[in-house]
Amino acid sequence: MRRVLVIGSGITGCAAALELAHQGYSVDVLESAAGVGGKILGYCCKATIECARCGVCVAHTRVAQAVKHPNIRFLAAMSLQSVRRDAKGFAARAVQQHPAIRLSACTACGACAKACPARCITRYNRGGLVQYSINHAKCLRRRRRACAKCVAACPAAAIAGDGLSGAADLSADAVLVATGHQAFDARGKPWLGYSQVPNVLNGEEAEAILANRMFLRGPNDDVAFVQCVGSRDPELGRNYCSAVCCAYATRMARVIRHRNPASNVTVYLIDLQNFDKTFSRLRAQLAAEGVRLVRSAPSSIDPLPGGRLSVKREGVAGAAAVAEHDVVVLSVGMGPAAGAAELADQLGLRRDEFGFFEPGTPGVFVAGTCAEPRSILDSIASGEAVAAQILEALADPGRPARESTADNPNLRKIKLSPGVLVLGGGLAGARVAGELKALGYRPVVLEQAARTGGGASSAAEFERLLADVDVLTDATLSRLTGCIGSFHASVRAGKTARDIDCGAIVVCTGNARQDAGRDLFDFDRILPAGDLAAAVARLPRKDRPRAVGIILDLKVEETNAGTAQAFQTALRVIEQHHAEVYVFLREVRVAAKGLETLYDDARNAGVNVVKYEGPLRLKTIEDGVEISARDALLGRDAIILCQMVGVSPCGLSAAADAGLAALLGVHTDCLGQMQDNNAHLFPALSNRPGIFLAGACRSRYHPPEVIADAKAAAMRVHSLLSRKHLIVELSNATVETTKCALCLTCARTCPHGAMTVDDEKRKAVSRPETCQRCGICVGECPARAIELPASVIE
Amino acid sequence: MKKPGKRPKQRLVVFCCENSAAKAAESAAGDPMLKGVEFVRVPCAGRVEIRHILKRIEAGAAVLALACPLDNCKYIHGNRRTLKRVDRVKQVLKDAGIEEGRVRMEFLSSVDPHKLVNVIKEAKRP
Ligand SMILES: Cc1cc2nc3c(=O)[nH]c(=O)nc-3n(C[C@H](O)[C@H](O)[C@H](O)COP(=O)(O)OP(=O)(O)OC[C@H]3O[C@@H](n4cnc5c(N)ncnc54)[C@H](O)[C@@H]3O)c2cc1C
Ligand code: SF4
Ligand code: SF4
Repeated sequence: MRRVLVIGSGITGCAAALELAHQGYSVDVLESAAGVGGKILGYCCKATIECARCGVCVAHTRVAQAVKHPNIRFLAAMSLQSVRRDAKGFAARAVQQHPAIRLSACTACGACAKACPARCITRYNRGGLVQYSINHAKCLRRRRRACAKCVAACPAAAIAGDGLSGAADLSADAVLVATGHQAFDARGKPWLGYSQVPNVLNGEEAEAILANRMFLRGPNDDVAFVQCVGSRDPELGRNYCSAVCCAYATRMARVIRHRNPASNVTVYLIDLQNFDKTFSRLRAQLAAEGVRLVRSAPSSIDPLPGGRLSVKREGVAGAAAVAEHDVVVLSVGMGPAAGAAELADQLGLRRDEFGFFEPGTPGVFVAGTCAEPRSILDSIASGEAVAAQILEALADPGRPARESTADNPNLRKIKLSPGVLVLGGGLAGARVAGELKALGYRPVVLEQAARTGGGASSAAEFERLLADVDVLTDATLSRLTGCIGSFHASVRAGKTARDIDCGAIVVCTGNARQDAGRDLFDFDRILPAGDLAAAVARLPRKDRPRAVGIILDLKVEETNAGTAQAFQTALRVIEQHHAEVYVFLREVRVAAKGLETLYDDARNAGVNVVKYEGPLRLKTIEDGVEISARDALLGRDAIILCQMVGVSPCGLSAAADAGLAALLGVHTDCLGQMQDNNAHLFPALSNRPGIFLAGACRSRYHPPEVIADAKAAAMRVHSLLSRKHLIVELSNATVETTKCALCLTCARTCPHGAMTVDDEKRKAVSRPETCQRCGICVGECPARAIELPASVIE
Repeated sequence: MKKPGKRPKQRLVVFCCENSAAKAAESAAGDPMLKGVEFVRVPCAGRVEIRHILKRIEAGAAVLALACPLDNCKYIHGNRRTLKRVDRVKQVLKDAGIEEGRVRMEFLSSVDPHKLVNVIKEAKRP
């Protein structure tokens, strides 16, 4: 059996461990803290009546699943003492830091907590995750006092008796580093008053309070959030964006306003990152709900007599402005975890200029926030992606445990077709196909254009990924029937028709933005931003533009991808043609590795960045295109004449191909992107079991994010199809023939597409492999013809 | 001795989605506020039908339906369905001259036990 050693039990480590364990790998998870789960344990739910997609509940579910998985062993309160490569892989020695409870043996009975005279055993019980852990700081044995009351009290022998001196020798075929991050210590910016001034909190403290209470302090408090504390700050040597603080701050701001609509909430920020699939809507919600966004970085926070806080900042035109608040939350960013340097030495890992790990060395893998700042949901994607990478590197795709149907007449065994249909041959599609190929599948790629490559094309890379893959160009899907495990796709490729049977489908069709730009582009002076640099280079030298404009955020909020492309293009145009470049954007989106430094480089190279608000107009006149918009920082209109203008297509429309979504039965969100805006589905799942999503069709545009997405999707496909058979319980919804009027309300309301029509019996039927037993149809059927045996709640 | 004029305490039935409120209830177990509350565990709030609610109300209870926050339903939109049904029940109660506050719906996630205690406290308030 293959073994993997995961270092760090945060959401990343758990997400990866779960995938590997499912494939029959044996996983040891080493955790230096007394409990498992990492930072998420201290975070709050940020839902109003609507989920904010912060991922905290999803992460709890995953960690709880990992804790229960028989193939995963957690080694808490242990740290890596040494590791060396041997013939079989790695031999590691972990030492016990202090007494700890073995989660795999613990039955959560609580006997130890009752027995402990120092009350140092705490119970964590939230989101389905139950764990006991020993608070070493209070433990009597730390002071070398003889006490082993917990050891004696535990009926499951889950507490190691030898206390401080335990050690474990571990062998592994691969090592995954998922040691996470450490929040910035806000004392590093003393003028913000943290730890000196009462009621100045950091983000972690605010999270922890709202995890247990309705308000940070009182319901009527005036609360302010200060963004980018310890991020985007070259003076601190931290000029990178932490990617999550905009998200947690604005989400908490909404929660506070929601709980008391009369309270004032202000967010002081530089730029608001695009952190959610439907961010354009989120911004409108922030405005509608009255969360004040103030574009400024406070320069000091001081206590006032009476307990309030005075927050000083630079106001319009350099004048100082002062505001009063009751509570200030410093939105601290992420930095490398303590001990990262030592671990890098032990494992031979390189670190980037900020201390985050670079991609691993052979046999050593890196994922989650120890590599770069990421949200929980992106950490999950990264964990799933790295699992696929490990399976491929060890050339052992693994095999899920076989379930038996023998002694249960209620189980049905359904054969899974091993075929996979990948829709779209762009970056995401090619990646998915490449990964699936490496995992032993023979995917078929369907590309509607005459060639693969999509929006991003690096010819060599595509060739490598798609070598030996069945690629149909000029091809479209015309019909899809069947369900998870056995889909039947009718495909038109050129002039021929073909039927493809497959067990799973991965949709990588990008978005439909070509249409959105139709009335805008003249492909002469106004063109897609991606074509700009090449178009300029094609012109004879004398006709080259003196000034070039690049426009982002025109209709929908830009993502990291748009910024990356804009600044790369700007740098090329300046270096090669010495033109003036103006980049118009609403916010500088730099929430991914390397983007803040790219932005710095662009500004240092002389790129003019204009932050605009309100509408932006393009007027074609004789000697160029006039760009006019309101400069948000100067508070006045700016009109700039450029000879050529590139408009980022990502800022034009987010929508995916609606016709295709309907044909597939895949839901779209409020911006028309595929996939419901539902955190349980992220990254790769859709509302229809067996249909997976990756890349721009679900709003991931930045190439590194697309690649992680594609790997995660391939992992999910593998996790499904490697089972070979689906074992389903026949507890799905049943329809009574005499009552069913064939109105098909059930088929319309079933979110998973489980209902079909039985032509012979003239009634609706649910497919056991697709039905998720939620009972929505039962409640919606006007004839009350549907029953769900699983749960009766009379 | 019972004080005259004081209404007897109304029974409270709470429908709990097992993906969210039921987990929160497990975490909050032991909280005095939950004493005497009847929890009905459902696989999805979308499973709660109008008649299930009306039956409890007819029996004299107040009903609180707890679902995952919108867009957080494991089954995509079970909670939205229930929200519509609760609105219909409210209409029925109004038409029948019964106080519509007898049925409420709240949204909370599995990691919000404190919110569960809070909504139950509000629901218990006469
Ligand atoms: C204030 C704040 C609020 C946030 N709020 C949100 C939010 O609302 N939504 C969201 O999506 N994201 C949020 N984030 C980001 C979120 O914290 C991360 O995405 C997530 O925790 C990353 O998980 P991880 O597993 O990579 O790291 P971690 O959660 O840090 O887990 C790493 C684990 O590894 C262990 N470890 C470290 N070093 C070693 C070692 N040498 N040996 C053994 N074990 C080790 C640690 O003890 C820890 O348990 C927030 C971040 C901050 C700073
Ligand atoms: S993902 Fe949604 S429901 Fe879950 S904890 Fe975050 S805001 Fe709450
Ligand atoms: S811009 Fe980046 S670093 Fe600054 S608060 Fe937002 S997410 Fe954090």
